[in-house]
Amino acid sequence: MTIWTRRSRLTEPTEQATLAPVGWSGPVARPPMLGRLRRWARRRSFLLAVILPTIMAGLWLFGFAANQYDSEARFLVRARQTGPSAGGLEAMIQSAGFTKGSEDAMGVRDYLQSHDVVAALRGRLPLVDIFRRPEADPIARLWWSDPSAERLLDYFRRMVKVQYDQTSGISTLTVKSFRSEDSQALAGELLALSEELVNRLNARLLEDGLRVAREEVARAEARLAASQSAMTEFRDRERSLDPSRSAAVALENLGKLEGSLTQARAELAEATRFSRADTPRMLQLRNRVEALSQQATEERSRITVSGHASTQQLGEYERLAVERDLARTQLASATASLERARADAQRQQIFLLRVVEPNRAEWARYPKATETVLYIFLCLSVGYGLAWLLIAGMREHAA
Amino acid sequence: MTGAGQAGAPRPLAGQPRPAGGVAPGGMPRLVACFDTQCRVIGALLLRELSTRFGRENVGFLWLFVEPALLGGTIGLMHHFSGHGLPGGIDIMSFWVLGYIPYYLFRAVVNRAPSAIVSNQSLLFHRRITILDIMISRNLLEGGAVLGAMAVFVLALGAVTGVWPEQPAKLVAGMALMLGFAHGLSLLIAAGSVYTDMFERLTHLVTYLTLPILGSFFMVFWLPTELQQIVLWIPTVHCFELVRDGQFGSMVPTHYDIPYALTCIALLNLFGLAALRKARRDVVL
Repeated sequence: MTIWTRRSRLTEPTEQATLAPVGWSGPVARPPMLGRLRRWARRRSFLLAVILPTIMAGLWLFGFAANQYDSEARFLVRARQTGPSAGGLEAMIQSAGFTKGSEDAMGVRDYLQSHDVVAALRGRLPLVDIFRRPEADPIARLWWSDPSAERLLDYFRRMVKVQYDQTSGISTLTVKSFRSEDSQALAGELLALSEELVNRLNARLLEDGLRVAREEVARAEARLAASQSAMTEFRDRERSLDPSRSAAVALENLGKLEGSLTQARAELAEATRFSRADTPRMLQLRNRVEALSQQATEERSRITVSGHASTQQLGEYERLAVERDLARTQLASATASLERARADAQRQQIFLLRVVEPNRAEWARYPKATETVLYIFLCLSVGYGLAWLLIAGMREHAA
Repeated sequence: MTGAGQAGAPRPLAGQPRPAGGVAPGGMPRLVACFDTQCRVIGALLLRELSTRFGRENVGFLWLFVEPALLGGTIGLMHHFSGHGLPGGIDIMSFWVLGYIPYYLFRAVVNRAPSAIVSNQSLLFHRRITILDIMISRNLLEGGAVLGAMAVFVLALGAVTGVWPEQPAKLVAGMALMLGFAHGLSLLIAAGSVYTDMFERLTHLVTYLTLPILGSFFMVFWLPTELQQIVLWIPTVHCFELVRDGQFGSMVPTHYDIPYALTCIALLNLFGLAALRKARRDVVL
């Protein structure tokens, strides 16, 4: 043990110090300020390294730190029907109780922590003001009054947490801020934003799924319209509603005429047997046969003369009719597939279901002062212990 | 660490006090000087360990790298040719190799801990060699060797498959965390082995049995959430996940919490150091 005395003006301090007998240092120079401080620090190292920081943190957390209120909301992101399950190991893993997360829910989770959502939120709520309320303490609040997007995003990620539970599929959104109504508003707005995201995704899905089918329907409609107008044009030009029908009608006429002619001839032949040639009945019959045969000849000649033309007409007409029928079938199938695509798209739609609405906190859960102080104390103690042991180990190597 | 490289000029290893500058005015040796001595002791112990373990014959301490590389490589190849895929579409070979090599580090450090004091007891006659120095040098040797083997593998895999690690720093950080964890555990085991033989008997068994839960052969995101939360209590899982994050990057989701892992490591090391301090008095030389 050394006793320090005030420095005497007359004595040479170093000599005195070295020559002093053991146990009594005599008048020793007062060590320089820094040295004294170091000695003191060495003796009180635990106090300095552990107790003091803990007390300071405790003072801050209990005395000055602003209350932070949290608001929690839970939601499900769910598709009406999941897609076809993959084979192989994935199926094995699923059957073994391992679940694959839903991409949609993860998408919503990632969106809720993105710069996109921060930008959208800034348009709706005074985000920076919320994080810089006057009651906020200077450490926990957002430090910049006009933060860059990245700094705001970093702060936002600290205050807003989204967790996705793979087993239940429920995502939990937790928002912290300095006023409970702010937290609630933020959580509500975030939920609304994610609902909008889901709706946007749905619209996009629907649009993509239906676009091809819609194009197909439009093409079929155009084809049908073209074939119809070709038909109309044909009818206008050829002055015939249905050439095949008119040919049939002509043939039928001819047949009827031939029939009547045959009958008239038979009656005439029968009459010639037992009556004179100049009876009025004979005259009538002969006239009728003549008229009929003339008519038949005319009809036949008309059919034969226009035969070539009408065959051509008929051919064209058949082609147009086939075209029209094809166009009709195509339109029907395209419409059916559009319906199917719509149903598919609707089945693939995702929904955001609110399970728990954001609450308004009555009691500030954060900052968890006691826990934090304890944690700081334990960490510092462990660090101190480690350092002490390591330094003691080093000292064993002293020469 | 300052190994043989720093001691280019022949310096007194121990025994003679270092010349001026090492002693503070108060007669108290400077901490820096002590640290310097400790580093030289550890460096010398490293060299000694190297030659006692592998000798100078044939390839000598090349075995240090070849051993983990061979084991990791064989396991990787076996799974590569068995041909079943992994969720997340990660490369089978690199997954198994990167799972096995950190585990090899853990196993090597922990399994060699019980015999650490016994096999180096004679060295403790020197005043400047402490048990901690012995442990540190052995574990550093192991860590360096495994890290070297890992580097070779990562380079080879990169050259063959064209997939390079996304963040090599995270690979190294994961290995460092693993080394820290294994080191803390090895201190405790070494201290315990002073009192009872039980540790020597049980360590191998326990490292073998805990293999499935340490995290080397599964990824956290494969598990359902409840199981994930349980599994994340195991500190080594964080190390493996960190290594995988370094290798595969954003290709697969990884879960790790470095502060938690560091806390565990700090606690283990604290208890290990304290236990070693207690055990030192009870070592029978």
